[in-house]
Amino acid sequence: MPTFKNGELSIKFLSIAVFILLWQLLAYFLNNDLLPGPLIVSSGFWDHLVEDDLLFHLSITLMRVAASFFLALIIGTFVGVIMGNYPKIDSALDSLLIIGLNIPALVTIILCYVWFGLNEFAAICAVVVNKVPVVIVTIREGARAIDHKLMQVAYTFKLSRRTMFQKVYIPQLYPYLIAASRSGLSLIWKIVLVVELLGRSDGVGFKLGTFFQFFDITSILVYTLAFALVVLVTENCLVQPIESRLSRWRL
Amino acid sequence: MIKLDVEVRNKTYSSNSQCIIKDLAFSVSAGEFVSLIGPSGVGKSTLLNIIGELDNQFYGEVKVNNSVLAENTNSIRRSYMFQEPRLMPWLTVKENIKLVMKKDEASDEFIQQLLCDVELDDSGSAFPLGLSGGMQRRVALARAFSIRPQLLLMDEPFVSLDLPTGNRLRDYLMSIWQKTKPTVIFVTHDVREAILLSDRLIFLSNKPTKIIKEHNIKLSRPRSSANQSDIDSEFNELLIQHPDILSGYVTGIQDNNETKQKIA
Repeated sequence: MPTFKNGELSIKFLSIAVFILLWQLLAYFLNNDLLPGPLIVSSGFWDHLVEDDLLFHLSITLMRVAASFFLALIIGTFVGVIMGNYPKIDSALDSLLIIGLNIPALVTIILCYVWFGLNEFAAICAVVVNKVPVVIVTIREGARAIDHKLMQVAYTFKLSRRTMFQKVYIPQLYPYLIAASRSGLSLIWKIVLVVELLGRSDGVGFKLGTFFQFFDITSILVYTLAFALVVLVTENCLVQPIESRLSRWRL
Repeated sequence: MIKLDVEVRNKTYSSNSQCIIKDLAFSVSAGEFVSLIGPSGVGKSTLLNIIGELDNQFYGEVKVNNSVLAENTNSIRRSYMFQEPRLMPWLTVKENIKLVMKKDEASDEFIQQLLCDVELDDSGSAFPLGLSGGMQRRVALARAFSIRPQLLLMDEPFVSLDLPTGNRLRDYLMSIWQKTKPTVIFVTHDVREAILLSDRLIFLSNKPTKIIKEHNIKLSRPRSSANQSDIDSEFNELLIQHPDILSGYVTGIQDNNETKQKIA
């Protein structure tokens, strides 16, 4: 069995191949419009790609994901570091944080649209508000786990604040930043679509809503497929290389 | 080079309000290698942290060339070598050394020379976790000398190494120190190590830490860990002169005659 010898990559492909095969079999035996098989979906994918505006809506959604992801990460890291370092601020904000963690995404989305109008700012804002508490919790753990002994090296050798931050402090947060990015991306993908469904007239979420009204299952699966591809590419070409680059010193 | 006057009138930890150091004062002349000897937990590290400005919660004063350290901290070059190597694991050996150096002084040749001095010429691009404990300490030693220190603080830097590895590091230290002769304060509980390295030994008592005895070492330099017999005879001489000194610091019972002599 040569496929297994090639290691992880072939196993990854194998699991996807088995999934597609099962899907095709199920679609074949059900023979129902509600479950189009992978063949129909991939030909539909081609149609949407070439003749329709799949790329446009996908790129709009990606922009929103990127914008809210970086905003949430920056704000969350900032607050998380402060809360991890100052116990008083931590206990002052802790209850708010718990509330923020547990408020349903739908509530913040509706409120943002009501308060700020059906616009881009409200959309991004809603996603960021949903994501920031999760980042804060992760980064706060990281800030609490900062190795005091390494900081002493920085102090006694009189490193500049900038160098101390870049070379001694932030690297200790890397594992936590990576964890926050991972969980952050998956959460943001999901919320952005809901935000688009409820209040935007472009993006994948908006399109899915439209297809839902027409019961166009094939198109819904086409967009899902496009989405899955983007997620796989991001993970393999962006997240994992960055992660292994940042942790190459571990043995 | 740097002359150091340390005076700690009182150092108390706020967490348990226990007095660690009381009325401790000593001076170190420029280019002198002084060892502070005492059992574990008597506040030797605390004392070094005070001189290394990692701890400013104390009553007293540290003076450098007769002016207050805290006011002149930027004008002196001070290195600190800790009990653990304390290298940044995400930086390579070279980057770790570069980290503490001023940008305009961090030339590749100089760093390479430092690595040669501790026989790590090939390991510049290795990460610390890939090195043995002894090698990590050699990097820490090279880092300590990389800023061309005027004052070097060493807190049991060779503790928990096996004897050959430890001796090798002590020999590196001797040969590098010999080049520029920075003022060194070396904390240890190993008297033989102190005799090998130092010009003067300062024995400390148990808490609250006080000086119970000072002793000059007359061995000629350069020294090497190979001269075990010299070290042994110096060690034995010390024990004959002051049979109580070891028990004095082990149990914390002070030698009253010594204290009186010092006061007189």
